[in-house]
Amino acid sequence: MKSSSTSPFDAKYVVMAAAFLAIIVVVVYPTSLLLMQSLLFEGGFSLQNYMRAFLREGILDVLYNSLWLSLVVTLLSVAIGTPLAWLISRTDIGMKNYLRTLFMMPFTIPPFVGAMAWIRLFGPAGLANQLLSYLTGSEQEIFNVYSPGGVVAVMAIHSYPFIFINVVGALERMDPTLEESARIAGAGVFKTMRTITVPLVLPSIIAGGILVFIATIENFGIPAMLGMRARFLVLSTTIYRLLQVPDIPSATALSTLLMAITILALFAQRWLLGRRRYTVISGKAIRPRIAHLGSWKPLLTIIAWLFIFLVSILPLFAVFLTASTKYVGAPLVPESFTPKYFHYILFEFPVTQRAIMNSLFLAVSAATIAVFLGSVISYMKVKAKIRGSGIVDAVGTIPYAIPGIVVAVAMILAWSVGPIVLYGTIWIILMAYVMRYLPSALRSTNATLHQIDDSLEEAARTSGASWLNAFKDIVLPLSRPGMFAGWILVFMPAFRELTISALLWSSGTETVGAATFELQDAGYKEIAAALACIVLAVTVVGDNLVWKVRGQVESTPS
Amino acid sequence: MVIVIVAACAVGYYILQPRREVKGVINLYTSIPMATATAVVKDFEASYPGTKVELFRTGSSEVLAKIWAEKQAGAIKADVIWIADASAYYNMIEQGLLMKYKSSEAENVPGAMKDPDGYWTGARLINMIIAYNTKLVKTPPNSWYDFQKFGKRACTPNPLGSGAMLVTAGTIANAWGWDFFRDLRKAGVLVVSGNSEAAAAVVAGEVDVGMTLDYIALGEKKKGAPIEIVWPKEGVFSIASPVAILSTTKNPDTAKTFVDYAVSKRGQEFMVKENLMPVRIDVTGPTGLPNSKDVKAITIPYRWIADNSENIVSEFEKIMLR
Amino acid sequence: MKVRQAEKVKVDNLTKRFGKVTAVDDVTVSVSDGEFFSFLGPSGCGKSTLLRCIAGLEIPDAGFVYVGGQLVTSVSQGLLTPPERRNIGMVFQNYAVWPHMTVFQNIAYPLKIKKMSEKKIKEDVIRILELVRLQGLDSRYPSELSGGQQQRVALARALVMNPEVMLLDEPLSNLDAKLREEMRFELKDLQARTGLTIVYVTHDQAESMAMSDRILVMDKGATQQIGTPREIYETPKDPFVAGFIGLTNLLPVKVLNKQEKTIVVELPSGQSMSCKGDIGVEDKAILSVRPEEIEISRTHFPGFVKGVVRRTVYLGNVVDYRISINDHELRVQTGPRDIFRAGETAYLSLERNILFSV
Repeated sequence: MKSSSTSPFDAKYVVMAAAFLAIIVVVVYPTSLLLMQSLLFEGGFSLQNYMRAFLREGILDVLYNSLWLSLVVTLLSVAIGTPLAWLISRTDIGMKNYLRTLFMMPFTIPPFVGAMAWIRLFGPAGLANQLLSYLTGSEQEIFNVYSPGGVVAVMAIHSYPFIFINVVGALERMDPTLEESARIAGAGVFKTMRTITVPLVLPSIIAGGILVFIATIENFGIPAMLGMRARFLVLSTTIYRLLQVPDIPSATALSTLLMAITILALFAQRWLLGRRRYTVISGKAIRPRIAHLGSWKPLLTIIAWLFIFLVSILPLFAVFLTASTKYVGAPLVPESFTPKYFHYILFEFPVTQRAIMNSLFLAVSAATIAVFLGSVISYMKVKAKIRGSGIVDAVGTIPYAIPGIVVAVAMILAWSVGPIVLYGTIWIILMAYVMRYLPSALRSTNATLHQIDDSLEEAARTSGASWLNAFKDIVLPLSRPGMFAGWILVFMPAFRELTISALLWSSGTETVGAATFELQDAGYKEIAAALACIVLAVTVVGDNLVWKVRGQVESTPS
Repeated sequence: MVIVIVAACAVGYYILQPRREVKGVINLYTSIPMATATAVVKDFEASYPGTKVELFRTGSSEVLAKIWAEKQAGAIKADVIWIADASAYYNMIEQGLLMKYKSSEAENVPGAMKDPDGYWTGARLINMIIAYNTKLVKTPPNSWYDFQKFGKRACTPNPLGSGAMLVTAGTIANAWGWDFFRDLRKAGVLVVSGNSEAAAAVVAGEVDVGMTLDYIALGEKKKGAPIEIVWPKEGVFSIASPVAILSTTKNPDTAKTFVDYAVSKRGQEFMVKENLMPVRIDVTGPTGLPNSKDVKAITIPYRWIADNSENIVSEFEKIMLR
Repeated sequence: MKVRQAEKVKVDNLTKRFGKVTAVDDVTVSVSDGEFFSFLGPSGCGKSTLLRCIAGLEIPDAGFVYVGGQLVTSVSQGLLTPPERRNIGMVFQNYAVWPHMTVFQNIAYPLKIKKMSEKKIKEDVIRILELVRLQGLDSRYPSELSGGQQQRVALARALVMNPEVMLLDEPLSNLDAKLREEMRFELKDLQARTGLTIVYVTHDQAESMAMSDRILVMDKGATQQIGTPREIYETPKDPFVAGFIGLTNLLPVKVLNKQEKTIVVELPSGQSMSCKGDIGVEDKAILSVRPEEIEISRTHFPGFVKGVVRRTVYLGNVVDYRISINDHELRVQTGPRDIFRAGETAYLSLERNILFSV
């Protein structure tokens, strides 16, 4: 523990107090209101709301569905992601760089866009089914994406890259001498893999798996788009429906339940990972052992590329197709193609024009505010080491455990009644975004500031610089790249965010995500697809920027 | 620093956007499909220069939910409401939410389609019909009871997502009983969120038949899609989707002008172009739809529906969505 | 308390705690003008903390600090002059050279803060670069420099502002052995040329002995001894200092008789010896005798202790023996004269010893 003496001592405390106040307004107030409201029933504290919500007919099914869905998706993601990771980092398969990028691609596509793509491919009138009936002349469909299976498949496709990149990272950083000593001791390739490699990589898999679990259980867009038609309801869609009725008390109770599940999952992760010590990361870039595929190589290569085609390329093609044909289901002949939908959303349709502007505004503002707030808090904690700053940091990280839909509900509760009413304005969405993305920003700012050794600042102080000068000349320039990366990591998900804005938008405050969802939901598939293409374009540009600055893709599901 | 500047610009840009409380601006909350609503609004603004309509479009029940939430907050943003769930207006009158206004234009609207006290005026006539895909269906259904024969290849909208469906479901429950829906469920009929989605599903061939609104199906047909309308023998659910002014409106003049427009000859003729059946007796309906006089309409128990709307929604959900 | 100008740094009763741990325990020390003074001790003894308190980077819990005659820290008065106003130069263990600035910008920084003219800054920086032998490297970035070069940039940066005193926190511990020796020489040379007062923190006692005018030996936050290298080596105050500086053998002995300055003790082997020392009335003591102070002989002389050679290591200029006397093993170092082999009997004189209280 160190403390640095400063002359603007009081100024520091003022700034921290301001940051704490901001945190209270943005995080503590809505969350506690949510918890309180769930316990309030007709003026008095009681568990009545919970009772009513849980005794609702079918709620157990909904709960079961949510858990089942998340579990299956997690397992599937691990089952897909881990072998792929092994393929990339432990074998001599060709064109690894391309493969790696393409394996990661579904991650960069917003899940709801993926859902739209898969509807186009595997919906009842989807291209794949069309193809099949063309070939076989039968009415039988390969696979109807409007089903629990469809929800699982789409979510798994968008989640496996997260496991993939984590496992790749662990495998590449693992000290190869650990495996080598096993081989010397007599263990064969598979035995080594089983008894040494897998257990050592397990923490990465578990950590990643739990985050996939959480992301899945809180996801709203996919179950909403694909599950409702199949009567497959989950917690998130049920909360949404309750808010539509509107049955706020029940929605609140279920939101708390969802949050409890998420928190439990996080604790489970901490418990599972904390039990054993796994310091295998050697920090130096050591070349790991490569397995030679030999005769397996051609087959595996084909499978890999087929997989990529199916999972990364086909969906993009489908979305683009939807956006540029006259109507869904039109035959694939040149006459059916038109650019009118793109023109419509950009130049004619005020809703989409507004949505794009709103989302840009929201994403830029949320990123700026979150990173700014995060920087202040991080500086207090990592550099100035002010007592109590750790608490502020911890509180700021709480929203990490709060599902998006719950954030929305909390916001509705917090800002619908006087004296300050933000409901219906764009500011409530902004608040929600700041709350939601503050943990991500904090993570970036903490990491950035940690990398700047204290002695650099101290050297400035002993060279005659005041605290302010040292901050301006040393800390600020050195933290710029990291802060920029942190900014983009909020901007990207905020721009295409769906879950929160689906609940909070109002006339004039549509976001790209909400607009796409509503349009798709209302059956305007072409317009929705055109909008989705815009989102994809922004995503591609943004991710390239992140890559350039960070050298790696972000490692959390958005 | 660059980021700060960009952010400042963004904020500035946003703040400089015209505020909604400026004179001549009204907020229209409607459940009319987005494309149609947008077109109507554009025509209105063109007819009355200086006016501006901020459109909020979502399902009928969501519109009501938003207005309720705004009422709770003590700040109702909506100025004009125009949804398909005609029964809801009764509740709104009772809660003092609507303003009386008897437009002079409404003289040409039949008595059954407007409120005697002037709280609301029917502005378009929408009919819940059966639509089918011409490529997939060789023998089109001609009765509502034929619907269940199509099983999974049939779909209906959700009352939560369609006010017209709420009214339809309520009428069916009241007149024919909930067993109608139980049979549909047994047959595996799908539920989609709204009328537009139902029509789109038919067009795409995802289902063979669907319950949807006449003008939506007609619109698709005119685009060249393989969809056709059936007017079942029992009759159709004919709803005069009313337009009304919120009592809390900050812009009564423009709001009243909108109502005038909606039932004026020009407004009605514009809506005909959007395939909507007019309420005015002196305006010819769209080609492709029968004359409103020739439509066999099943009687709708608005009062009963108004009193039981929550029940209808939950009962439908219980039966069709489990 | 009045402070003489000749005292560049004065620390009075300084105490600093971190939670339950007392890192600096009531330390009083003063450094004279032009002195090369080290704080020496094992890791965790508090020497760095003490240095940082002098720099103003830590806030002590009690005590006073004076720099250049000025009171800069006074806990009782709530005075804490910030580091930037103490006119000290500091070199950190990891150099803390700013990676986003060139060598020139790094060194020029303190002058920029003082708002000197660009011309003057350039002059001073060039001058300092020559002083530390980094000419021509001013437009390089730290990442392009070797460890030793970065070290010198840090040094130059601290020197350029003409500080009252230079504080160095284990500056050479990251360099390899050869470079370290070179830098030691350079630092002393620098001091000779500039007349700077230097306070130097290290755990390397050889380094400390080689460079310092005086040394403060610390252990567990407390002062063990302050003195010149010779004083500390030849007259250590307690077993810790004796063992920390150079090598020594520590034997537990029983006190048999005490008369004036002569004490008769019984060695573990049973033999008795007379020692010079000044201990209180006790029956136990610790005998400290350095390996090179033990005389070794093949013949028994009166007062010599008999032992058996266990191990012989020939190092060229020195022969290092382990010789056991009963169950105690002594380390003995002699020149490469008559070399004993393992197993042989040897007679040792422990005459040149120091007796410590237990």
